[in-house]
Amino acid sequence: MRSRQAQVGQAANELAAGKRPRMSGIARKEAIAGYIAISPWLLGFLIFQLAPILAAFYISSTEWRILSAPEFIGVRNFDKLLFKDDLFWQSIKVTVIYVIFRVPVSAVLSLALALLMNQQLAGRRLFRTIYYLPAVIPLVAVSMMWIWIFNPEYGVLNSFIRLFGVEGPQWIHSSRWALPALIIMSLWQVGTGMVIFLAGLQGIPAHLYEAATIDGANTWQRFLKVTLPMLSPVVLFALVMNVIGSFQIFTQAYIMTAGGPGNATLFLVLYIYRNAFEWFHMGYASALAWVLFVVVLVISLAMLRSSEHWVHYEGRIGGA
Amino acid sequence: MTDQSWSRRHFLQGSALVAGGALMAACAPVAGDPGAAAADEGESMSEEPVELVAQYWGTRPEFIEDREILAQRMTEKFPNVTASQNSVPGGQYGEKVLTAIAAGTPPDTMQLNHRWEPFFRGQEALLNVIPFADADGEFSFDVFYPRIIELGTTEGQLVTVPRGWNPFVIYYNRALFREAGLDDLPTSWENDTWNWDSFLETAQALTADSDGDGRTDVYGMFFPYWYPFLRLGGGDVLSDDQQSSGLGSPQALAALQWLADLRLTHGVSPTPAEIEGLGSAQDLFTAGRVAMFTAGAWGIGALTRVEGLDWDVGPLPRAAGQPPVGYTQYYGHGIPKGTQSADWSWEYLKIISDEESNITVAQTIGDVPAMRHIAESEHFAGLPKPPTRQVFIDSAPHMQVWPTIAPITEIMSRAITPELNLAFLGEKSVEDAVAAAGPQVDEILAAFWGN
Repeated sequence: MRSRQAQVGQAANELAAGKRPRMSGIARKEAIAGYIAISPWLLGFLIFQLAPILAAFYISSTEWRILSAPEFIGVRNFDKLLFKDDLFWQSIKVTVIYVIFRVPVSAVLSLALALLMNQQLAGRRLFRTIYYLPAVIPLVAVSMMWIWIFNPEYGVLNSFIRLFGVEGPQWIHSSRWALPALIIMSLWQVGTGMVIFLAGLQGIPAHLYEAATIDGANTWQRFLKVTLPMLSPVVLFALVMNVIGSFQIFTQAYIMTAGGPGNATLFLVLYIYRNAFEWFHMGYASALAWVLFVVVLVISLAMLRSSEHWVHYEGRIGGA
Repeated sequence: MTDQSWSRRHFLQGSALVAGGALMAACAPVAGDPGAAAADEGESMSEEPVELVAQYWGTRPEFIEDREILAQRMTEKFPNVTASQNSVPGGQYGEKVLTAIAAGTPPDTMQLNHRWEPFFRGQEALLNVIPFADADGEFSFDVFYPRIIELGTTEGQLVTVPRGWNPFVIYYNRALFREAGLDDLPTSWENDTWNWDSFLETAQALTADSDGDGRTDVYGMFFPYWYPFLRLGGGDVLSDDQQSSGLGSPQALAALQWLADLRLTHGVSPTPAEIEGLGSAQDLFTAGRVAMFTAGAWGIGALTRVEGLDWDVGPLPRAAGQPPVGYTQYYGHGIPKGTQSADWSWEYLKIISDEESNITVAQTIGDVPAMRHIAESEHFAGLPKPPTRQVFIDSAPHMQVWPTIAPITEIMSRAITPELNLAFLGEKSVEDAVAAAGPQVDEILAAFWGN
């Protein structure tokens, strides 16, 4: 039997020659054991995730009202949503505006909070808990609370604004202010991002800061030249998660505004839900879901692709 | 953190979205057997053990108890039958029942109302109960209010055996009426002095800023439902031939404008923000913040439990030149196609809609029973509160109901409500709202009729 070293050497040579390395008996056993180990997840994924996704793709080409058999109608659902359905475009508009405002603002706030909580402050653990707390409260309960905060007559927000002698807006009872209200409300949960950034901050080696300080960098320069580059993988993670999560906004609109007033908060997922479970157009709802899937996929891939230019991975040279 | 883990994470996130709708695909789309046994096929009822499930929405304790008793009575009558209830929260009713039917395991009976009867009827998922009644020596539709049976019958088919109905009336606070120097409301639906003008005058007399801080403390009226007023005004959401929107008719426009003016011009009705801050119509009414509100008979139960509240009911006010309209929502039970044995379902249905069950509707649930002689007996009409219960019963000859066309929920929640809400908020004129809703209504109708 050849030595382990020789096997590795040969495998490396085959790799270099662009050939697939031949598996040894042991490696094959290990691979089989590996697949067995991941099989619970793999099966769960195939049966409960991939199969429904593919089924939804088929359903999206049908008119299906559940009780009668799905009727194949080709691309008519997509044709309708792209060219004939004003509500679809309204839901896209509302959702995109929400994402555009919510994602950057919450990223900046999360990072600012994380920087603050990374200082040696008295009671810092307590504050961290307080800031993170909203993230663990169910969104339904949070929504009920914000209904009260936003109430134009009796809510705490307008009572505060009234202190300055100004009457606040009608918030969720106005088609102009309902969407801004939900964006403001979403900032309530910046604690989630804060925790992620905090973990990233604490992973930055102190010697980098020491070196920068010795080289004469001030606080701002240390932040720009050390903190941000070192944190960039975490920023990428947080941004992508945030974009995906923001595109999926549903609960707040479902509970607080029912998509209104006048479809001002008709987010795409709410529109999918209504088509599926209020009006029972399963085919059309599946088509809408696929559009959302593709939109999120494309945006996420674009972000990942762009990350080559701004994300710095430690241990890689030249940022590539 | 590699690209690979990213795309997987993303993939999972995205897939979770579509999984909900797609899970349905796992269930074979088996519709109820269209040729399901009807009574006249003479299927024999064996003594074999049978398990029956009645499907309901709503999970309040008194509902659950009522349904438990109905199941027990079924088992007492037929010892070989194990009967039970399946009660789900109202919001999940449609998807639960649809999924069960699609999976080939429909309930044996199912609750129906103005929301669900058109939908399931449109899906051809319900059996016509008339043949069962005809073949049954114990049963007659004559005991029910004839208008309910008449309104529920489409093309010779009736899918719901009624159990209760909810006539809409004006609930009013007598103490606030006294303070404003007003007499009690009339009790006759035919009385044309109780009309939209006198209704507005009454509401204006009741609206008050008691502490003089410039904000209204008592509102004359609150209308959680606009549809009854649309009908009172002689309009409807659909044209007579049900091919297009009816909201553009002069009567419909006038009725909607009148409603919008109640809040926006006359200030006799609270804004949505005030309602949200103060609670439901009943909360506002109980707290003395609203002097009149419209609701079905379900208001009786809750208001009767409030001690020291002096209240009564009056008919809906008539619009000029229009006949009285007794807007009503009725409910009952039907038999889904594809049940294990339609004959057993029918037997269960009979118990759910029988005299004893109607008495429960009157006394425990608080709605008006569908059986006329029970409604007019001491079980409903004879109860002490409110003093003029007869108003509910007298609405029967003028009974009108929610549109019965299958896509009515989509027409309302997709096309009409978002636009009318803007009109009632004052963000849009009634004409503009109706003009925006019209094409959307027409589009849904065109798809439905296959144009």
